[in-house]
Amino acid sequence: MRVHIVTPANRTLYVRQLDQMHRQRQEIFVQRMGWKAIDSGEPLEVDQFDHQHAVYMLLLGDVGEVLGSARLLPTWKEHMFQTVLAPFVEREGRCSGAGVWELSRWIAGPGHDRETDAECRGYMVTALAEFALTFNAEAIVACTDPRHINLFAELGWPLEIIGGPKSYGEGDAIAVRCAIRESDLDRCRHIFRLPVPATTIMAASAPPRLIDPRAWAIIDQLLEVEDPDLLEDMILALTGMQRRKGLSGQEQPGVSGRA
Amino acid sequence: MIETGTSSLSQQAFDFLAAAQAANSSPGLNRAFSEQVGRLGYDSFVCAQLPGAGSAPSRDNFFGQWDPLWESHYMGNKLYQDDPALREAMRRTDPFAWSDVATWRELSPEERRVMDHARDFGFTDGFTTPMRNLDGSLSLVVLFGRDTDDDPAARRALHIMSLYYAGAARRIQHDLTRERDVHLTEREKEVIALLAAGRRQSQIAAQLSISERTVEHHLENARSRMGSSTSVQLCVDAIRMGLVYL
Repeated sequence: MRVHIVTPANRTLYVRQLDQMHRQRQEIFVQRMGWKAIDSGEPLEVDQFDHQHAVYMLLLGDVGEVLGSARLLPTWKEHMFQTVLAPFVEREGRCSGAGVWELSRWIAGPGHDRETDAECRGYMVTALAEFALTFNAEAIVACTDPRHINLFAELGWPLEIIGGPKSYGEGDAIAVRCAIRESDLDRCRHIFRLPVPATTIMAASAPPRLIDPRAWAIIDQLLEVEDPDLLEDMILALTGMQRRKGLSGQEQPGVSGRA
Repeated sequence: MIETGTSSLSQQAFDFLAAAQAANSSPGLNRAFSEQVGRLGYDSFVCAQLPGAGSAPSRDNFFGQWDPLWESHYMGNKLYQDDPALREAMRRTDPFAWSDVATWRELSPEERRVMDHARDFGFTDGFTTPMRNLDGSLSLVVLFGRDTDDDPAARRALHIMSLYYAGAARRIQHDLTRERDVHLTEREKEVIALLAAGRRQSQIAAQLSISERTVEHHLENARSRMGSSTSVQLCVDAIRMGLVYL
């Protein structure tokens, strides 16, 4: 398990995982939590703040599956407290500025069992502290459920309430600001027993070859086939097609089908 | 003296947050909390981590400043078995006053008895805040009142302060355990590494030429020092903390 920091520079390495993240956001925020305001009716939850400057935290499991995610917006670019979350702010000037990052769309764990979720939460929270220190963040700001205030206190992160609690339709929200220090990361690692960094930041200097989306469509079709004979036929047909292409139009016998 | 102005209540909550962040001991935190909730009619309070289903609450998991006579009476007579506020706290995520429970449903005779006992000790009402901790466990903060305020703004302030109080109490606990030098002897590390590699205790004993009882003794000591509840958890914790390598 590891949290990958997806920046504008390395985003092309995470196309499939980001797609999975947007699907999870739809499932959790729209379907499970009932946030009507962000329901576009699409299978992917994407809004105007998923822009080119957004940074994502992706918690990936052992086989690369997405177990958690969060969005971090630099508040010197377009962000939510400027517009949609502006009514929640009571202390002007505390929710944006150089080095202030806005946290949103926090998902820590698939929500199936308590132990896995607690482990995921540990990685995500530690990764957030590592992000803040690595990126020299002045502060992290967020609009959150007031029922999570005890978690900030347990972490010992210096918390400032910059607005609320106020109702937003599906519940109450509170605007908070946290300046994370080195000692906070130490405590975090102690609480979650994570002595090694929870985050990975992949360099984008040598991006791997991107896979054509048509190839994913074919893979998805293959995954749905249950009949082993039909699957073999399809694979043979595909490999046959590739070889024929490689032979510049020359037909190669015995690879175009089972017969 | 009860203050109900919205702005003064917000300020009260802000003041408490600042005091709780600065507190590095339980008495300091309790003093700060007592001062704020006392102004809203609550004169004692307890924070408790709830046990798993079917287990009785333990005094070891209590934290706060509550009447020792009531604690003794409540625990000695096992009033927690029929405490309606405790029952509601286990299935709710929002805070509530004890008086709310009777408006939601009819109390059983046993539940009414618990509330009568509380009144006998002078607690005319209480305010309970359930919450999830970082490790996913459930805690609650109970405020005991004699002259309380039902104002929604007061409730919001009590909710925020109760949450922050419980979190800060756990933070102080984390810092105390962190200060303890987590040190394992070489023998304990050997035993944990072999256990993590899948050996049974009898195999470990044979390999290290010690008795099974000694193996168990090493594991028990290590579990206690690491704060791990089981041997499996001990292996996971020791590996994660870099104390044992496979």
